[in-house]
Amino acid sequence: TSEYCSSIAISELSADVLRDLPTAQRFALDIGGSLSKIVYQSKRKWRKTFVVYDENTDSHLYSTQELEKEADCLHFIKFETRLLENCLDFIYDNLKGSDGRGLEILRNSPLRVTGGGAHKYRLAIEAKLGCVVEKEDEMTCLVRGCAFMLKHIPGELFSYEHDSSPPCCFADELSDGGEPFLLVNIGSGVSMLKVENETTFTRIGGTSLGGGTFWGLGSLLAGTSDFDELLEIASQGDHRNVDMLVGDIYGSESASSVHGLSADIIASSFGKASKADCKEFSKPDLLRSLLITVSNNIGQLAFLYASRHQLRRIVFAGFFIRGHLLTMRTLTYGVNFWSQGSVKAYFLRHEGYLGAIGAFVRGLEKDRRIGVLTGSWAENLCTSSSFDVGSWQGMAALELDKRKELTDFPLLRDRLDYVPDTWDLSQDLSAREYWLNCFEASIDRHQQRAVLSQPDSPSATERGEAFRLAYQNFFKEARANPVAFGQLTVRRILDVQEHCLRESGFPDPFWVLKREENEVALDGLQSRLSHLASLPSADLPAALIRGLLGGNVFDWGAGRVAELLAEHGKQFGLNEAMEQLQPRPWLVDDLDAWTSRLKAGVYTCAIVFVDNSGCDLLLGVLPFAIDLLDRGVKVILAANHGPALNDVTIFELRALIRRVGSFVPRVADALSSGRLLLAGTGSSSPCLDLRYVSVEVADACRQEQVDLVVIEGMGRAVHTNLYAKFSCDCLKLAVLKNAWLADRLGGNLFSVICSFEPAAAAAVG
Amino acid sequence: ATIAAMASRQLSETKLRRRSMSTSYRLPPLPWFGMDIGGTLTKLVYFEPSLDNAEEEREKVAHIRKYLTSNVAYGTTGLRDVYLEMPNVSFLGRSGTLHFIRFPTCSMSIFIDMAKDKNLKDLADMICATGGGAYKFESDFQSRLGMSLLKLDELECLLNGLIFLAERHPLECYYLPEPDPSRSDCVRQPYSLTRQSDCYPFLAVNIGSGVSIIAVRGPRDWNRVSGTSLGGGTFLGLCCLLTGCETFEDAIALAERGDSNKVDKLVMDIYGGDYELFGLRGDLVASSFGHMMSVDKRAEAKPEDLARATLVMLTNNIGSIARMCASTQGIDRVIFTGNFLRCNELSVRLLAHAMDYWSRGSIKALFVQHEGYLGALGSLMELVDPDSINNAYCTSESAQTASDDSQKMSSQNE
Repeated sequence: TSEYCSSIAISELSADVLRDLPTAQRFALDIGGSLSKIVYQSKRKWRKTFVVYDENTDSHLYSTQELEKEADCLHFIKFETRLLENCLDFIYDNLKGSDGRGLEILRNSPLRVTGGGAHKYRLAIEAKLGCVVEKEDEMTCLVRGCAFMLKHIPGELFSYEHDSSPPCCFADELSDGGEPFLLVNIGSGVSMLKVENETTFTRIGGTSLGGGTFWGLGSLLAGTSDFDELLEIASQGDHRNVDMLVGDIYGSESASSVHGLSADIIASSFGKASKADCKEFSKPDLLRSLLITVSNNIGQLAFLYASRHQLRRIVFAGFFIRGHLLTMRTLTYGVNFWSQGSVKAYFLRHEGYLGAIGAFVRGLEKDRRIGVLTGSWAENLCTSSSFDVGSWQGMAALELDKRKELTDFPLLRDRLDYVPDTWDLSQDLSAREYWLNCFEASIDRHQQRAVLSQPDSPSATERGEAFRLAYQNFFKEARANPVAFGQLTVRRILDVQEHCLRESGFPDPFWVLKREENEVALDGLQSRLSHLASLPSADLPAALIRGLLGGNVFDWGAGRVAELLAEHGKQFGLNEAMEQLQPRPWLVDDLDAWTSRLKAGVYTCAIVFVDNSGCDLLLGVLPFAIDLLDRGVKVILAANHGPALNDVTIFELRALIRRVGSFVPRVADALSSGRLLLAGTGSSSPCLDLRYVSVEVADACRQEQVDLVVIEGMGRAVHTNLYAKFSCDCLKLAVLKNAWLADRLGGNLFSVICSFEPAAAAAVG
Repeated sequence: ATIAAMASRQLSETKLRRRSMSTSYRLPPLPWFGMDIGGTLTKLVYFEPSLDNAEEEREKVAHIRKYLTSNVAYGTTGLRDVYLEMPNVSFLGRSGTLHFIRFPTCSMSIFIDMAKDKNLKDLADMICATGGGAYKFESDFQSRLGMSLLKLDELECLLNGLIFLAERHPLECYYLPEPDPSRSDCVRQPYSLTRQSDCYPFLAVNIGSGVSIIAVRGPRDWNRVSGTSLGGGTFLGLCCLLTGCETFEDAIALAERGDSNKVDKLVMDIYGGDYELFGLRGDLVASSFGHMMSVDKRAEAKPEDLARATLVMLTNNIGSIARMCASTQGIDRVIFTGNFLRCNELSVRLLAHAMDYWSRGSIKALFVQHEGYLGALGSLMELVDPDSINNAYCTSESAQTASDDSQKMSSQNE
């Protein structure tokens, strides 16, 4: 029989699952009736690249070193509660193994435990681990956990949409610090919490008809008490044999013709089950009816509480849901039916872990160590189990990696309306097919490049294979279940690729290539600048845009371009690239609007999100930036913090601009006078999610009063942000180096997007 | 369409039909029946006129009267609730006795045979009926009996019946001044609910197979605000499945003897005592049937305990929904009706207590003696134009008001 919720089996209780235990620092537990979750923080060692430059001795522009670096990681593991003691033994052994330091740290502060089993297992835990157990309130933990997940994990929230396939829609978000919402925790019983913010909530009601009712009554009706089995049996039944429907009372014709009501509406749950009907009822039918009875009732009560407290959004959590489609469907149905759509029901992807992370957060608060959580935490898409709604395989482990603190990009016109991704591959079948095939076909190329990037490492081949397996596994899962990792987008696929590479110890497979390209491009910079200087000033803006677009052709992420580059080698330069561009008028052609805008007056400061290394950055973007500087506009060049494909990183950018400064005095001056700023975006993706940019970028935008945003490249300006609206002028520039993409947007290969969106237009509506 | 929209559409249809009736009818021929055909039970109210001032009674009418009044049980399933009988009621200018009869809706076919046998058709060509069954069985009545059903709005009949009884029967409406679920000797205090008194607004919660919740703000001003499929049918269905009992009476008898704490998980079972953070007492039910996932506890639970837990769960759930609706509507009186409460003292106490406890005394639960028959009675009253009823039975002042309302409605319909 298939399981709805696979957890870690005892045989799997190993260092592969409970990873990094020897460096584990803090633990919290959520002990439920059937499943328990443990969360702990560890120091993980990552291989990381560092850019080193020494102008005097190095024959290269800069060199790159790979070093191991520690970073914080949050581990979440789900296991059956009956394995709790084995799990504690395993933890004890591992902590003891690390010269006892781990145990010492564990005993320094109380172990925070929440969930129904907190009371029951308290003494056992204390005896086993020799630490003090402190019980944490379930609801408080739930609210903290919910706030934590909503803050850190994009696409955490989804709604059940029966007419969509798959039925999970990730589009909406709860704004933090915004409207209060109703959090409905369906455990044994049900609690309804009005949540105002991370720490303020009120229990406004509840019902005793909860998960325990389904479980208990279901056990009585079916004679088995395995919760997952009960759900499985329910999914095979038909409640209409047990429930009395409107059609049964009115006659099926009059129900719809007289009242316009669906004859299928349930008038009386279990109404046919009285002995008067002398019928035998099947277990699947009975359990299905029971599941619907309980879920509908919770949905209705949730609506009643929400409307009484003027709440428009309901988030359902608790063990009862367990990713079970039918449960989510009936809860949503109940809310929709009674609210006529005025109240919306939501669910959480990591719903099972809320209590555990909440207990962890509560512990930090009480120990006055909440600073441990400062920064942003990102889902490790390589090591975390996938989310499988419906069959609910896996999801036994979750890992969150600590990142730099990230925040909203301050120049978005409407943060709540912002959707980073242009296409939703979860719902768009043809787009999904195309991109999954496209990226999967590139696995070998990436594997080779990764292995070649570490010629001195004996384990590189083996790790390259590990990368391939992990990445291939993703494609397998994503095909079977397009919401396995939340909303599927091109950005998501690229993130998975980066995570798999990093996890296999390849922090930057493109570093050699990037350096080569940078060196070649740097050689051409002087003559490019001289050429531009020779142009009549009226022609300059257009030439700069053409140059920038020509530069953007150089992209190893694009298959067709990779072929061209391999074919022609170094012969393929900026001029050759510009010849590939679509002749004007371009697919989106605001060049004239841009040049006249530039004539009309100057900007205070422009932020330019840069893309590829080499020609793109040095011959395309840099001359464009220098021209802005010449016009008296400050410029912030914003580059990724971490490596992604051949995109330039902030560390490489600093080395490059410093070198450029050595022969272009204007650049050196601008840099030293603070008119040219270099900032890391906090990202390591070829795409750009403007809900998560570094504080550095956000602060710089405010301080320098940025009034022009320039986004270049397919990843940042087409796959993401194509429809993003800003509160200031924005220039989006990209060359469509992919036939599918060009076709979707109504163009051809090498079609050009040159979109100038003035703030005034953006402010309308 | 929403249920509310449905209700109002149906309402206006009824009005139109009634207007056309009032021109052709003065007093309908005897016998006078009103029927309410529900999902589980069919309720019949029969008016037996006293003969002292009556004209010569027709033979067939007498035949039916004698059959109905000399029996308590009809066929194998029909029953007359003698304890509810109301003598000396004046109705449509005649005095007489109201009789209350019920049979399972699944025995409708037997009823039709009986009516045929008694030649009911020769006396009248139409029966006033409400409830979903009025639609479902219309063609059966037509084809097998040659009688048509005047289909009447369920909720309107319920409300008309309620007001009619409350005004005529001083002990009809009552409440429990000190509700205590554990004491079977709670005092019933009469509550005066008449058209003359300030009886609006109130919330009517009718618990039949399913539950309808109606906000009533005036004689003609009401709407269905909510409902739930977890009703009396759910109680009986689950009890039959869990205990093997066969009738509602058996299920109630079991429930009265049982202990639901053997089945339900209480707050103290989870938290060891009160859940102080949220002010939840330890003896409150945290999870209905929450103990039953345990094999051992299942073995210990007796049928009585299961029946009790089922009753407590459904009753409290209805109370909870009713209370939410009342406070959302700003209403502080809730009248519980419907056959689920028939001979079900325990649910009455539970509802009274739950409303009082959870609303901190701000919402009052009211109950009626003829809880299951209001719809049938209301449909009996539709035999003639309601204005005639008002003229006949109300004080002149209130009749004037009601008639004005009625005209208002009529002009809206035009």
